[in-house]
Amino acid sequence: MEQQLEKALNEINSQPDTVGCLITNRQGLCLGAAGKINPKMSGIGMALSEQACKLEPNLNPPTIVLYSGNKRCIIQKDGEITGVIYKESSSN
Amino acid sequence: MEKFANQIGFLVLKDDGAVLESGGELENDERSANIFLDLINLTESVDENFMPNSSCERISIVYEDHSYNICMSNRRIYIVKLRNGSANSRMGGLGVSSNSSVYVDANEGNMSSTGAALLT
Repeated sequence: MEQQLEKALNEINSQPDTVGCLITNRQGLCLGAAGKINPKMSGIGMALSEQACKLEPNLNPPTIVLYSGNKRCIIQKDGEITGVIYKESSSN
Repeated sequence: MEKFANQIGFLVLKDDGAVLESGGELENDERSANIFLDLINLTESVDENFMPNSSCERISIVYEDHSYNICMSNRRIYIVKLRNGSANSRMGGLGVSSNSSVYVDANEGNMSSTGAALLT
């Protein structure tokens, strides 16, 4: 049943600079993860996206990007699920 | 505060959340200020192995036609609301793209210059 999900996660993880990714449900429970990412990040990812959605509740959920040096954590909510992607660029 | 060509609002907060300066669409917007503060507090719980505590130097919240960019410096929190648009992106602001992940990559350079300007 989760084959499709794992396929999508592996596809995301094969993108350039991507270190890891996960998908979480509305409760912050990790539905699946790929690469170097702590599944415990699902809760905080969910909380961040919920918090950012409060800014403009009438608009579609925003993309949240946390920057730290050459690392980026990208969070995007889409309906019931939220995706978290870790990226680390070799340059910069 | 220095104004960007595509800037539509700004907030300067103390680290306890008090509004020091504000303008444009964020003028006296304490509701948003509190949301930003909660958001910053949440980022401190991000995975230690990937981003060590308090190493998060910038946060962008990107909507379809505008974005909020948060920087922290000297115990102050600087937030600018910028409008996206192809015309503005040519002037060094944020561009817009239907694919948000490409958007982030493509505008890395521009975003960095925004952050640097904010800190000066």
